Amino acid sequence: MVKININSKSSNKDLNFSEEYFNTANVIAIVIDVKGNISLINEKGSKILGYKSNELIGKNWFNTCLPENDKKNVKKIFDEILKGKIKNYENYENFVITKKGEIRQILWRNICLEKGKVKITGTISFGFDITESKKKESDFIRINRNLHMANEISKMLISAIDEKKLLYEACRIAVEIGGYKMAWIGFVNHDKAKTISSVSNFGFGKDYVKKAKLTWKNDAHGQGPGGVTVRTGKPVIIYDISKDKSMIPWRANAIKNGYRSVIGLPLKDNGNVFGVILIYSDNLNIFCKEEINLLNGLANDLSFGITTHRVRDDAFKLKTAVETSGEVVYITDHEGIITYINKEFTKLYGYNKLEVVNKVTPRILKSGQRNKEDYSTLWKNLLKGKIVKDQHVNKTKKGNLLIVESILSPIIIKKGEINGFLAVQRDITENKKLEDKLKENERLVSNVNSIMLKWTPDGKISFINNYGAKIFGYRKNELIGKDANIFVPKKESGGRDLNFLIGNITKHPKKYLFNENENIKKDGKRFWVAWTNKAIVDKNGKLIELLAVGSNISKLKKTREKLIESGQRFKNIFEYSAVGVSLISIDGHWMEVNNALCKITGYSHKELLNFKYNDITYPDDFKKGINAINNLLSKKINHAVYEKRYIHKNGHIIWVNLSIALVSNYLGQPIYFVTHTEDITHRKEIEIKLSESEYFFKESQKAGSIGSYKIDYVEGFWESSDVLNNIYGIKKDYTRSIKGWLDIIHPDDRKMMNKYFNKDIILKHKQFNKEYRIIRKSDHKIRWVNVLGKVYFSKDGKIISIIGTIQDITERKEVEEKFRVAEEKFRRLFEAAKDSILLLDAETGEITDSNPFIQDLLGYSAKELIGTKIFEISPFKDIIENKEKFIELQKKGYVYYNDLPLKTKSGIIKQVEFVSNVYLVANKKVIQCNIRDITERIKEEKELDQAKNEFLSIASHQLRTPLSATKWVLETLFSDTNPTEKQKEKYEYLKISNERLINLVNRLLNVSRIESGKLVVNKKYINLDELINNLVVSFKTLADRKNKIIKINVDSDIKRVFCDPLLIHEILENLISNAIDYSPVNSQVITINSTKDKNGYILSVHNDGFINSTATEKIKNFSKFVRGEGSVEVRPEGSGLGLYITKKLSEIGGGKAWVESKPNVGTTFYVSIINKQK
Amino acid sequence: MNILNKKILLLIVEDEKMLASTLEEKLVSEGFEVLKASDGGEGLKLALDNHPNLILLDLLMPKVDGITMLKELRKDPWGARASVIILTNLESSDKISETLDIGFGNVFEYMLKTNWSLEDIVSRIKERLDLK
Repeated sequence: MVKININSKSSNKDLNFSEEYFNTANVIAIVIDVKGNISLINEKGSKILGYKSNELIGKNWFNTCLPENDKKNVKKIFDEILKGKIKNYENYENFVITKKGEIRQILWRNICLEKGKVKITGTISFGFDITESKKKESDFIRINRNLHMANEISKMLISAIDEKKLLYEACRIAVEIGGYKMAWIGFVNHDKAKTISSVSNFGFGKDYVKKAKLTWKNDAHGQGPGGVTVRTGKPVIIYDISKDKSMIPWRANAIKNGYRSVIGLPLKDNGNVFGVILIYSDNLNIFCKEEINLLNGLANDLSFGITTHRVRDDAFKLKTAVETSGEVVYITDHEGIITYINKEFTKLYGYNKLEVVNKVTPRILKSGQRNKEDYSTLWKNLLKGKIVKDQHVNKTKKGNLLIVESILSPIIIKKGEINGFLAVQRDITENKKLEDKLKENERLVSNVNSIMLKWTPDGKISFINNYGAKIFGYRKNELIGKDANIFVPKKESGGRDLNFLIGNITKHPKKYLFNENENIKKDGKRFWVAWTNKAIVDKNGKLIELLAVGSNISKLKKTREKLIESGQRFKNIFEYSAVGVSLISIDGHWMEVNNALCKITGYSHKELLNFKYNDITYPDDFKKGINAINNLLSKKINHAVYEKRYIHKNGHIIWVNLSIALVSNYLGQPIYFVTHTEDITHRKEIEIKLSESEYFFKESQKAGSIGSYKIDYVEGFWESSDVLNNIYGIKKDYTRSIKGWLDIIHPDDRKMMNKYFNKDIILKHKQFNKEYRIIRKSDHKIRWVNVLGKVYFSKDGKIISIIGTIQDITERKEVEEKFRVAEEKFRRLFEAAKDSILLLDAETGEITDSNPFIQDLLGYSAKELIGTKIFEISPFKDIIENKEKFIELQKKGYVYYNDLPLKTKSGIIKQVEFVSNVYLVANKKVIQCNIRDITERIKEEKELDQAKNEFLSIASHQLRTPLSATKWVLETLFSDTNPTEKQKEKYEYLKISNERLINLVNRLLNVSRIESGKLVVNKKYINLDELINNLVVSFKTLADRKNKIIKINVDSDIKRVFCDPLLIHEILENLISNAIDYSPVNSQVITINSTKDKNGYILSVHNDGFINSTATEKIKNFSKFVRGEGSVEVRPEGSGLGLYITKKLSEIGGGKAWVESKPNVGTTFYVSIINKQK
Repeated sequence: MNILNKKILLLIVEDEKMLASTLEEKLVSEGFEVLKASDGGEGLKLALDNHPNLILLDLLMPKVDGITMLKELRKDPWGARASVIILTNLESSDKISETLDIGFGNVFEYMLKTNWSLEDIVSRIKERLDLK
């Protein structure tokens, strides 16, 4: 260590040398006294500090030459040097401020100046200006750091999983590794205000970024390094924030945060600036050339990273969308070989990737149902680079035919060069019919913006709506009757021949259900129309008209073509999907939404993208979504499908079927969710209606007092419906244990139920079906219930549960009880009846009941009778011989036999009276047979009858005996003597009186016999001719006496007639004797005639006499005791009973008797005889 | 009366004595030989013993009635073809049919006594025996 002591006793030479050195040294040499004032400073020192040689002498060092921040520290060191605490020559660095205000960095070595050994006079210091070298040193360090930083960023660029993370990492690396104070990235917005929005930042002073409000406009906020970088695309450096004017808007905040300098670096994609990274340092004047180059390179890398990431991300998102799309997507190369298919392709057509990709062309799908013309037109258009919308029939692997709607487009990468083809298809087989109808209706209704056109089968326009006429540029009247071809150019701009379009539609309307073609206006301008064509036919299927509804799709077509041509093919699929498709970020923001989703929710793309997923979710359904998302994120499931509600922009609720899947990157980290949303509002409405009908079902259960229950035997508790709670009279708090269940059962029924349960349910595994009593808990009243239940058993036969219904049937039971009592009464009557009663099922004839009396009567037991059909039991075989007769009874409803022989089981014949009635019991036809044993009665009746007959015989005999005695004695009275005239007169009187008496007795006996029905008809074959002849012979004596001749004029074939001879005999006897007695004296001939009629013969007795009309009337009636006029005179002994008896007898024989009397013709009595065997 | 100088024998079976004797008196006066029986048993015996030309048969009689007698008579070879006139006051359809069943051909005649005068009876007998 060298000790220089100015005040030492060194030589002058030394001193001179010292002075010389002091002044000429290339270092700062300065002497400061104890007060801190400058005593000496050399030239070099003055120069570095920017002062003249003597300007500084006497000035305070600290106040003049030190930056404010350093003053305190430097003074402290100065004091310590003076106190000897710091060794001489120790190095210290501090900053000085020049006269111009520049900061320089100086390395000092200080020596304490001593006067003698005690007095300290100040310090002498030598300073090296190390400003430049120091700067170089820090530049080196920074570049080193920056290299490190670049390395880190490159690594990060490769591994970053998403853009956000990438941006954040870039900022973090700049601060933590690059050693900068703060870094942030802003993205350029192409909005009106030309804003730059912060997308990521790291480091000290985040609020600075928030308040920065950068723009890239030419205004104050656009003049900073951010704005300029964006505008120029070049790095912009602010070396000293505190001095740079462009930093005015942010300066205060920047200085507060300790930023001293800043660099802005552009983020570019293909030369276009899309963002800027701003890096702040707490040092002044940093950013040397190398550093700037390095940082710029980094920014470029970062740009590249971001854009690649975006491309990759887009591709990934779209691929996911395509893969999970509900539409079929496939891509072919330019030769038509399929190079890609999505999952839906496999689902719909049945071919998997291995079978299809790089192997076959879409021809495998051809069904052969399309004509070649169409097909070649389609290909022509495709090869011309057109997008073709098409509808056709495809065939699946299994051979099923599907109607498919396709959008086919060529994939053009370089202009004019087709790289391949893309097809998007939808299976519309199911929707087709509905859609047809819907479309037609929809278009008809909203005809305001549709062309409605009708033409006749010969192609003449028969109708066009106002809109249609207007769009084509015609007046309506101009068009009617014109050829419909007027709207169609001969050739489409694309070259398609449209000459025969109208004709083809007319011929094959079904093929042209939908067609898109170019149309031509009156002024020759062309535009595209999508047409729906429909044939209108009459009842017989004959074509009347064609209806075409069209909408102008020129604009749509252009947009669509543009979209696809610009290569956004997937976007198209995404947008045109009928199903709502969206991507949702992990934090629940919509990232991408398609048209369908917008349509479903009613919001525009922009609106939706501003929302979080839950913003339009119906609050009750939040939980569903959260559950699904949690399960997806925790990888419990990889796909969730559930129904949820959104709130439509209009405020109404929409039901959707949401299918949500989580998409992760190749590291397995979740990136976002893909959702497919299907509007099921309509279906839900139906479901709600269904649940309403369920509600009605419940209500009707209530009405029917049917409650339901479930007994869980494993857990030992039961559940009950509200209706059941009412039936049981229990509340929610009732203990629903097994004991609680049993408690409700009526104590008297518990034993029975226990038995039933053990025997029928547990042992026999029957289903529960029992009526029993319960005690209603609420009012302790006895109620009857009918309990049904399905019993579930475990494999080892134990009861798991019983589920069933309970109906309160108390009212029914009461009615039943009343019926039962009544039934009991009648049953007793039935059992005790002295009549035999059988009850039959009127449909089958089966005996359903019998009382003891009939069992006694027939000798059959109830068992033998019941269940047997009545016509199968021997006693009844004669009554109801067969089913036909039984059916007759069913119809007639009533059968009565008053005297019927019935054979009992033991073979005894009993006479019965049989009455049968059919009546309804509970809507069922029942036959009741009352069978009364009348054997005794018949016997008595027979005896009575016998007695009657006996009486008649005896009476007639006893009456006649004295009469015949008188008759005969009178006859012989005068045979040996000659009586006087007077005696003769008296004798004749006696005779006549006796005859009258005999006649009267005969007739009375006849009448009484007829009237008591005791006259038995006894028909047999007889010779009627012989009978008549015999009869006439027997009248000969009488006839001769009265001078009458009886002539017989009968058919010869009456020799064999089936009749009762006695009846005929008596009838004819009456008529002949009448004719003899009453025919006029001058009329001699009596004729007996016979004529044939359909039933037998008519016999007649004719005489020439005429009876006047009054008499005829009386005779016609054949009344008792009525005698013809003058008959008393003719025959006083006539009884007036003859004709009556004749009439009655002929009726008994089955015939009739009548009289005809005409003047000059005579009187004829007729009797008809039935010649038939019954 | 005997056309072929041969006696014609009639059998009257009649329980009523007054009627039997009046009829007998009349028939004898007409020249017939007459046998009388007062019941069926006696009548059958006389008929089978004497083989009369005609039997005038009453039905209602004590001991053996006319029907029973007729039935027995028809069992006999001669009696089966014997001429019988039922001469009775009994008018029961049953009885008549019963009688007719026994021998329609030979017993067609069923004469109610009250309806026939003695004169008529005689001429009927004569007709029957072809004596007129």
